[in-house]
Amino acid sequence: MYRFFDAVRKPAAILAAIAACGVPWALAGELSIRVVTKDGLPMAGAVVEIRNLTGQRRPVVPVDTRMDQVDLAFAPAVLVVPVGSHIAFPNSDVVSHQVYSFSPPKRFQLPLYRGKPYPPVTFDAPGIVTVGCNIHDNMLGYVLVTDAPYYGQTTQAGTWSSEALPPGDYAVSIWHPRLRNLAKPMLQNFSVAATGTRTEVLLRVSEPLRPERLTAKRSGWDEY
Amino acid sequence: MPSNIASRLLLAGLFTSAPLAAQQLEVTLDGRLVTSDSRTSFLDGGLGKLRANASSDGAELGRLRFAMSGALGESFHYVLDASAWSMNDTNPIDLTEAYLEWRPAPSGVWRSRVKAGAFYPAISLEHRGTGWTNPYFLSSSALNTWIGEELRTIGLEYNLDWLGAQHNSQFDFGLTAAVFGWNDPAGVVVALRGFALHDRQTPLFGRLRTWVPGGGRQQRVLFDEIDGRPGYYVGAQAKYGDRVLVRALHYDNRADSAVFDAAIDDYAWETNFDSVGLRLQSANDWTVIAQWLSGETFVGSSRHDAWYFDAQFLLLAKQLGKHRFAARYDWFATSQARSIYPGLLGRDRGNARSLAWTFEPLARLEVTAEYLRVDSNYNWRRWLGEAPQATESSLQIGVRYTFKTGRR
Repeated sequence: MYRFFDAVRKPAAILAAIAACGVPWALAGELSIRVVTKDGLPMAGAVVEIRNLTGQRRPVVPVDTRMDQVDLAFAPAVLVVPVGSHIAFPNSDVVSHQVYSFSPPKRFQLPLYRGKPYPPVTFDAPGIVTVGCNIHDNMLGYVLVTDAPYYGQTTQAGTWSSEALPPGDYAVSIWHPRLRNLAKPMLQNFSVAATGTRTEVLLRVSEPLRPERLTAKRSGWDEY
Repeated sequence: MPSNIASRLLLAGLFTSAPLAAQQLEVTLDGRLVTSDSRTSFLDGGLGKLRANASSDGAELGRLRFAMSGALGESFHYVLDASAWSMNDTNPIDLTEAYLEWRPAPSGVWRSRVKAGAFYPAISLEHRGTGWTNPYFLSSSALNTWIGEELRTIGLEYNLDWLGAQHNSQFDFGLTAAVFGWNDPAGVVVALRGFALHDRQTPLFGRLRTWVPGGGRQQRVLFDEIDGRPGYYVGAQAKYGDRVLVRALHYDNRADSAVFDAAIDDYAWETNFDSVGLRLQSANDWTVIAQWLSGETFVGSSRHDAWYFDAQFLLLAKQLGKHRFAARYDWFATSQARSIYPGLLGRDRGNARSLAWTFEPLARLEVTAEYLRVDSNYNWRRWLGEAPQATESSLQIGVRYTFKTGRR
């Protein structure tokens, strides 16, 4: 997997720069992940999962969240949730949708509906769950069910940061719906040297991306 | 078509025990202001290509549509679409589509679907709205106008889809095959009148007024079984993400052109055609649609009369916020290859240019201004005492308001 990206670690230089700029002390020990495309552009919305390779793994805490359906599109189109989480799939469109997935980590279907008639769906196994609508084949959503203790999605600037991690070895995995092979997230190992150091990891996608999904169509349009 | 199938579908739709939340009612009122210099419309017994006449400028009903759709259990859903087009039709309001679809949620990358009832074969790439409405123009392309006039699948359609997008691929594929009846007269209008450009769909129990040589204006029945022989079509489609869609279809109604049905005063028209379509969409809201269709139709014992027909168009559209701009160029031709009346072989060819601007001030309101110009040359216009060459144009403003049950 190393061929997919380059990783850069320069905690000491960054720490010095932060100190010089007078950034508050609390930030000094943080972890920052930055994901860029092959062309060096920031990659927004990339899913970040970080697992510790040494020491005891922190247990994940399931969450309750939702993936709405607006203008014939899932909103948000990508969700990352810990194993055991519950996701509601309300339909805010005028037209009916039939949500389903046949991805191995979670097979389910919600028969044709509008509004929110069904209880949330529990995602109890880790992996990538592709969600579709059986009526509107262009609708695509993704649920990344993670067992990683640290997770999130990159901002518009392509960055994700967290509080300082305990010293040790870690693996970061990056997934985005525009990666060529959606079944294989990019992986990279990194270390946190000592308490209080800032760690920065840069990941660069080495292949061209899939075309971006088009913006939502009008709700009254159908699939003739 | 047999009225008992439609009425059973209707009853199934209205009195189902499925949850009411999954039922949807849609009502669209489409009003028009039209000015035209067209020849006498085919609807009024002429050989004009447009729905409007030079003599009928003013306010008109474009369409009044009532549609119901919804779930029946977990794997079925139904669609009932009824419209009124004009007060002069056989039935003031009539069905254009009525079908039941079995579409179980996929349990793997292959999905089967079955449609039963009366519906459109998947040919038009222009008609993207529910009820086979065209969001780009008030008047459809010559090719798709013909689909709306003479074609309907009244039978069974099977679809096999490979859902690549759900399976880590950038491509989706689909195959379709159908067996149908009650489409034996298909071909009579394109052969005798040629292609036209408008938005009126022939209702399932209605008729299409058209001109017939020596017979003047007639109400042609298009959805009728004459020879007891089912027709078929087979097709395929491929998609690249949501950017590229390609479709191809071969249609053959397998009519026995020697069989005459006195009840509707028509033969079975033996019609077959091939159709290919391409739709491209870009990230900056451009849409390109191109379609091509080429077919032939025969009528009479030993196929004594034969016609070839071809139509193509290229459509370019751009969405800019609440505004949509569209331009389209159409080519069409019908030519008679042989006849029991030699020397009078019909030959109609022409092109059309259309421009439209649609503004959506509210979510359910669309205002469209459309300019359409058709240049055609049809030698049979001489029978009406007209010059074969005609340039017809129309300017229309359409206001479409849709009421839907639902929260938005």
